[in-house]
Amino acid sequence: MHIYLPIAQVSIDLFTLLGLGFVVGILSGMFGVGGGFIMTPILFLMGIPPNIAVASQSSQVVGTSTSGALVHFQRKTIDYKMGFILLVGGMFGSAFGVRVFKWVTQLGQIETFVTAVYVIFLSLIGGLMLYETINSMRKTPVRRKRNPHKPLHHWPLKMRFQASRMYISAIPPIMIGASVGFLAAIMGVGGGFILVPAMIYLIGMPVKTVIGTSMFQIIFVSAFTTIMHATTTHSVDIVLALILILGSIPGAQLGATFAHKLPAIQLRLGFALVILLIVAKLIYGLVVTPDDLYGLTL
Amino acid sequence: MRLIFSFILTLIAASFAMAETRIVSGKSDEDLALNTTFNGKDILVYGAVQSDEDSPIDVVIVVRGPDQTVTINKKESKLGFWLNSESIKFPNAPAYLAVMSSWGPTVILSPEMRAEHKIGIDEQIDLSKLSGNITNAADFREAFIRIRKENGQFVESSYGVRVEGGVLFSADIPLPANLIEGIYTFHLYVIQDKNVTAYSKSYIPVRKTGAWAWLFNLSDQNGLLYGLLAVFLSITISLIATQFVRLFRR
Repeated sequence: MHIYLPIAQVSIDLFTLLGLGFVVGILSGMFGVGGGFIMTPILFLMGIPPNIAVASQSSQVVGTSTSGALVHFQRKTIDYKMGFILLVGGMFGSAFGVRVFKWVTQLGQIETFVTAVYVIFLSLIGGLMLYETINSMRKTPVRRKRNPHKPLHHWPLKMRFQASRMYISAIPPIMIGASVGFLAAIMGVGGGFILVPAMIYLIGMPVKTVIGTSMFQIIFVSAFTTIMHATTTHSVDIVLALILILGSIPGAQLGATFAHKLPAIQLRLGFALVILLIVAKLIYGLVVTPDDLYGLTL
Repeated sequence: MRLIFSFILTLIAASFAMAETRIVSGKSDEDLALNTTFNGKDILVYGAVQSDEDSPIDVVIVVRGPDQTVTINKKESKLGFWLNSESIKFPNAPAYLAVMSSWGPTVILSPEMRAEHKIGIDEQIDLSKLSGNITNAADFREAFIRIRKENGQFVESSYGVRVEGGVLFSADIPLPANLIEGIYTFHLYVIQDKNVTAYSKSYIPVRKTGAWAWLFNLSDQNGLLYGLLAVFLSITISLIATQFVRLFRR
């Protein structure tokens, strides 16, 4: 059954869209990410204009993160204070990122630029996670200290984060929020796949509160991005976003259940592998001679 | 003087007596609504040709959709990576083109006639307003046409028009699922002895209707309200769906 999308101006099979939403929803629920970094390229392949795909995606991420955050809200695994601090940085980063995005677009290299940023960040994060996970799997399971002390934590502006049981400086979370907001605006995604590892490895937050807090924060950042897109590029397709949301909710619920049951180490290994797989695909796309040297953009 | 006058009279009489060809036609749809379930549509164009001449008729139908501004990029290998290098902006690129005929246009018409009446996909594409730093405009035109054909936005068929008994004709014009809003112009040509002997022009407006038109206009005219609506609907629908999924699982 086909449905005509009013803003994208294309007719797409309804069940394919629901299915796509479902699969990305599972990943989203399991790893606490919006899934934008997987969804966006698939939407391109389905014939949805890239600018529409990116913009509608942000609206869809609002929905998926809301649903995902609900689970964590009920399990009380959201650190609201940390989420708010990250958000403050995120807004600044996002506003700056949108400017850089416009500037590179004017240079005509946005496509390659975005892909290069993806490759660099995804391979860094994926590699780091894989290395750590394999290391901790080899060693006899020594319990890590609950609050590994990092030099960053001795900075001024110390705050108590009760939900995460941490007493650290607010400056690192603000900086991380800003960098993720900046990257999210450039890459057109929520940024969960960068935020989650950054919270674990850089801030040293316990894995338990990381996913809920990240999702909570992403609701606001992607709502902000949606409104930015709607007012500047007019390319948010509500119908597309809502269909993807309807598909992804059951998926995200299922994914969250998996996440709760599976051991954290396997979860991290899975996440690392998914990320590295995407990096391989992106590099392949950059290096292999394209089927068509020419492309059209509106 | 008298001689000249009678000469002119003869000419006028001759022009009246000259064979005249007329075309009448209709379409299966007078307008087209892009609603929820639109998934492409074939428009039937039919009609009759009345000709006093004996020479056989051919019919060519050219349909042109609204113009768009399209950027055409070319990738080039630099240091092992494929990057966009050259690009051109094409401000009057048709979003849709169909060239249907009862016989190959290149057989029944001279290149000059095709150029004059813009019969053919190449002939419909005006490269004079191109801008950009490119070395070979013809390659870009070729790529543009090829990509549009792959997407079903440009169609061409030398046997797309059926002519029966030298009088009646009909053709199906396939409008693709990725049709955009605007005015679609139908040009009908009757061709006899390598000449265009009759021509008619008509339009089909393609519009979004109902809720879809409302959404499109809101997105276009009040981005802030539309953005807030998108965020509100995303949150509401996801909360409702989450509760629903939970009920279902219990």
